[in-house]
Amino acid sequence: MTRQEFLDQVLSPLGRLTAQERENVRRELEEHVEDRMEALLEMGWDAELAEERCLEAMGDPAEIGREMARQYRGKGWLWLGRAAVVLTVVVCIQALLGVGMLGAAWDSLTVRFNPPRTISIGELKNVEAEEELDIRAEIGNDILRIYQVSVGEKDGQRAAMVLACAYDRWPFGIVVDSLFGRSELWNERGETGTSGGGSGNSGAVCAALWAPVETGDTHVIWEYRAIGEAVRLEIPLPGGEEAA
Amino acid sequence: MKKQAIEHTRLLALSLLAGEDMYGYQMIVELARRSNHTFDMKEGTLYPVLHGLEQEGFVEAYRKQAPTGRERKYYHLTRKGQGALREEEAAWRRYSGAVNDVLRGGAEAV
Repeated sequence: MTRQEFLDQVLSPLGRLTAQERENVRRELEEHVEDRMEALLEMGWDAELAEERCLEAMGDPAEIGREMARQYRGKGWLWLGRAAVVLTVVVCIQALLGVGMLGAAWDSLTVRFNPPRTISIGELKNVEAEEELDIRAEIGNDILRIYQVSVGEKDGQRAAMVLACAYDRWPFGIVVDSLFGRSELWNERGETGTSGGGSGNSGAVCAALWAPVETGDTHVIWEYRAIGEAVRLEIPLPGGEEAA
Repeated sequence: MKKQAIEHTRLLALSLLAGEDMYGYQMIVELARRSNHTFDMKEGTLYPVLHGLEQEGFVEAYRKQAPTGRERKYYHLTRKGQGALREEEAAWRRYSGAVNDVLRGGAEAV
């Protein structure tokens, strides 16, 4: 019997084990034979005889396999248990996706760390300057986060575009969807662009707003107005300091 | 009798691991040395015993480089395993004590 045949015989009744567990058993026995072999070779044994002697010392591979299988006999039930857990998780995720809750919570989370860099409706042409920002304001239970300002050309006019996302303070909360409808972007002379565009769901909304700017302008103003509440945020323009 | 042999191996394995963490081959060598080669067990049968102890939480396995420079699967006696060792050791002492008592009785009768 070769080492390979020996190992195969040990493993053959171990069908219930995972591939990883079977591999671990094989490896461990192989290592044992390796150590025993080395000891015999050091004593001056012939390699072929040494292997024969090693395998003989190991014992009956069929019996080792049977005994090993006995140690894992509870595994059938374990598998059933695992399958049940996986099934439950899958069903729950499906259900959450179905009601849109998970998708909304996911968006609510991602905008905190990685908000979208392009918002299709608010494209600027010939972008001269762009700057990352992190200006936050609390509006009710929601957080408005302004994260990028760029200066370029919009409809043949020099303009600043501001990207912002809004989300509820809590990942599973719901953001007020009229947040951007009530927001406007002004330049220093009180001019505004026609409102930009955005997208989102109950978890997070993102939008681009723009306002015309001229050389020398240092900032634009984000204004949110609702009954009983007004927020004004001054947003520095990229390169504004040198221009000023 | 075979069942008995397995139980012995359990006790011996637990007892060996009480001193230090060891890998299978090392345990066989150590067992032969300490027992003056009395326990001439089939070496492969140690592994089902070790895996059984692992399943029961009496030992934990991890891989580490052995003094030979090669990585081996080491076994470590857990707290639960220490408890099992104490119990099995006590049971063994009761058993071997009883055997001795009987043997002494036989010797006196002769």
